[in-house]
Amino acid sequence: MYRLEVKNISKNFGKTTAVKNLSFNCEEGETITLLGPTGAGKTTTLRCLAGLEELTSGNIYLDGKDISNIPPNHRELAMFFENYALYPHMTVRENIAYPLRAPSRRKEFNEEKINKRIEEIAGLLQISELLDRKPSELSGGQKQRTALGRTLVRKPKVFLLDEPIAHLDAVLRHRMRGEMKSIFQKLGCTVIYVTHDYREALSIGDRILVIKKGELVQLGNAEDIWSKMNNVFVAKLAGDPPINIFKGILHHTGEGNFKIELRKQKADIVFESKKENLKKWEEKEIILGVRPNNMTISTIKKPNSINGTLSAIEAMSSSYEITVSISEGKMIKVKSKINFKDLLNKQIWVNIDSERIHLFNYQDGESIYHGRTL
Amino acid sequence: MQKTDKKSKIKVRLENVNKYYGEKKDIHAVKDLSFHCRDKEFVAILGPSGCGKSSTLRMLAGLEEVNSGTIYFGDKEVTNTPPSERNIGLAFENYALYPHLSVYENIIFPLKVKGATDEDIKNNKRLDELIELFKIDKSTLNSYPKALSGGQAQLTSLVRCLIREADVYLLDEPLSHLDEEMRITMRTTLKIMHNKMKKTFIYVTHDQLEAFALADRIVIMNFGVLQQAGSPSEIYTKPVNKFVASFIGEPPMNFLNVHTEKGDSNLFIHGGNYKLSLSDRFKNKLKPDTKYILGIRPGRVHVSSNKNDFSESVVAKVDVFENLGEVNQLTMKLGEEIIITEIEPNIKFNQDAEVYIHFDVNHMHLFDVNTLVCLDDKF
Repeated sequence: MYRLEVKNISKNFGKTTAVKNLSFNCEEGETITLLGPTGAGKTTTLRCLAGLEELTSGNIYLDGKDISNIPPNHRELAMFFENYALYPHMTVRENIAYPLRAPSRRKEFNEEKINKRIEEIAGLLQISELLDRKPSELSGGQKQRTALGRTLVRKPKVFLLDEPIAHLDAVLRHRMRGEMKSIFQKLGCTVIYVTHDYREALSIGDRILVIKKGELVQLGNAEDIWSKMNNVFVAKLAGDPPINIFKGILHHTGEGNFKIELRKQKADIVFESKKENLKKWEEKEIILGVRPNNMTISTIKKPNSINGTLSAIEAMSSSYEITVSISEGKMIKVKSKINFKDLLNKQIWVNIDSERIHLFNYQDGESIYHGRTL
Repeated sequence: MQKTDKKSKIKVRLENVNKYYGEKKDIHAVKDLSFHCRDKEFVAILGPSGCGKSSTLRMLAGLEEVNSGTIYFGDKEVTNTPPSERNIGLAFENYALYPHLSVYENIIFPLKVKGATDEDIKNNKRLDELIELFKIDKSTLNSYPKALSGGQAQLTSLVRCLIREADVYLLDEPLSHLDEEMRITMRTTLKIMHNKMKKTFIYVTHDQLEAFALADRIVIMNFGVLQQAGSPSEIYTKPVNKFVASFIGEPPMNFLNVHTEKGDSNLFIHGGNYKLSLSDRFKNKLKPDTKYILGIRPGRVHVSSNKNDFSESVVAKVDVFENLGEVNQLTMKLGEEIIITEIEPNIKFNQDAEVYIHFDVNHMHLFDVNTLVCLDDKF
């Protein structure tokens, strides 16, 4: 178990800045997931940690030792890429053993030691029965575990993974997500894990580092990212369907009472809050964010509701995603346990649970208020 | 239309359709397939790769010869009718755009073929609407297909399909090359267009989430054989066999090995250590000394750290706890068995914690261990 410390690292490619002044610590045995959209600089950050990219500035420390200028093969960090390539002519056992047979390790590992290590890793990954098979005889998940085994067999101090399960189909990906988490916990190793899938990031990460255009946007645990997001960017990144966003004006209507005026939707959303600093946003333009599961649908007008047309119903496993067209071609999504198919193409009201809203500054998208979270 | 009006007439019907491939016709790709699709219905043909779903769609389109069986469009038999006389709109996974025509020319091609004048095309409201809704970038309208990304080409192909005034629209994985975010957006768009156009859609996909979201009815195939046809909720709550049960639902259904003992119709799990209190439906109806597979959806498995929360429960160990934002997911081990459930976001468990599991036996399914057929109807 080892502690990784990243201090003010930047990486430029010509005039483009891929990573900008990024700092964070990954504690011993901790898993940090790097979450961000395509092109956010996640992979570049990981490659910098691995030593595959030279830093433009900044330092990386492993257990207090500056490793910024140490070549990749001496860093004791193992990197796992999305495109795993197993040797097709070798068995699972031979594939996993391969890194241990490198000439530089010949002194350290005799056949007995290699076999012992393989059995150990295979047991952990639940592929002990598959050791004598060739890759062509494996399922997608089994191949993935074999490739993981090949990276883990060296017992790296820090394990770096770049979208390791992104190319698997949804069902397998969701199953592997839990398995990955379980494996990291059992190994107790320090892990940096890159993904663009928020569920993966929230599930696997002890903490999640959200990155945008090479810069850190938020570093926190799953609850922070889900319920106390720093800004609109983070709010939109986590959630399926994503959070619904409205532009409004905040009014202070009395002691602890507030009203959000949604001009385009001709609706008022009222809520109570004792947070003193909310008053300073009075009469200012704000962004209202409401998650699809914090809205309901009704045929009659209720307080805190927006008028619209129910334009599509999509069934999920145990709920429905309902698309409602509101003013000016804008669509919002509501998650519901009820189908509402009789209301298709009809006028309905979307009721907002105003205890569970999020408010952001219209100017810069920074968070100004979070309602009840659970 | 979303409404499942049982009286609406049948638009497409397959009767005992077979398809063979290979020089010796020894690959039986579609086996005795019969199903129907009502007027204005959205039907998804769902199955893993190689299940015969694309062959079925190609036979419906007339692009593939039917070796035996019949296909009807309405009352008319079309088994041997050429594609051009079937009045269908087609969109495929691999685009099939005309390389020598621009994106715009590709899109309006079906209108031109029908003899539309430039004036007609200019006044075609659906054209503008489709271009906007499916986010065809105006700047790409004059480009040629080779300049498009896979996703852009697919959306162009889809718009070209939908611009046509057809009776039946046949779509084969038309969103598969889009990135995840775009695929979900376009799925909703397609659903909205189906509601607006009020036409019959048949849609091939391997993605259960897509089939669920889009379809009024789902036809599930495996190894060329129809497994089940029904509404998403029918398929979800009344799967006919273990294949359907395991293929549908996210997170997937839990399966446990269970058995009855000699001279006894009680059901035991966990190697016999735990006796399930059966609901009236199953009570006293199980064969003694028999193995079954028990299937139960994650939402029907209840968990607590407090034994007193349940009238009866079994102890399991937490393997993985996942915070997914809106819900938390728990993977537990009960002996050799793995059980997944979804729990409220405010409830947390540590790895290796002991928890009490209660199975909602009213919503369990039993499968035959050999045939894997769901036995629920027998009880």
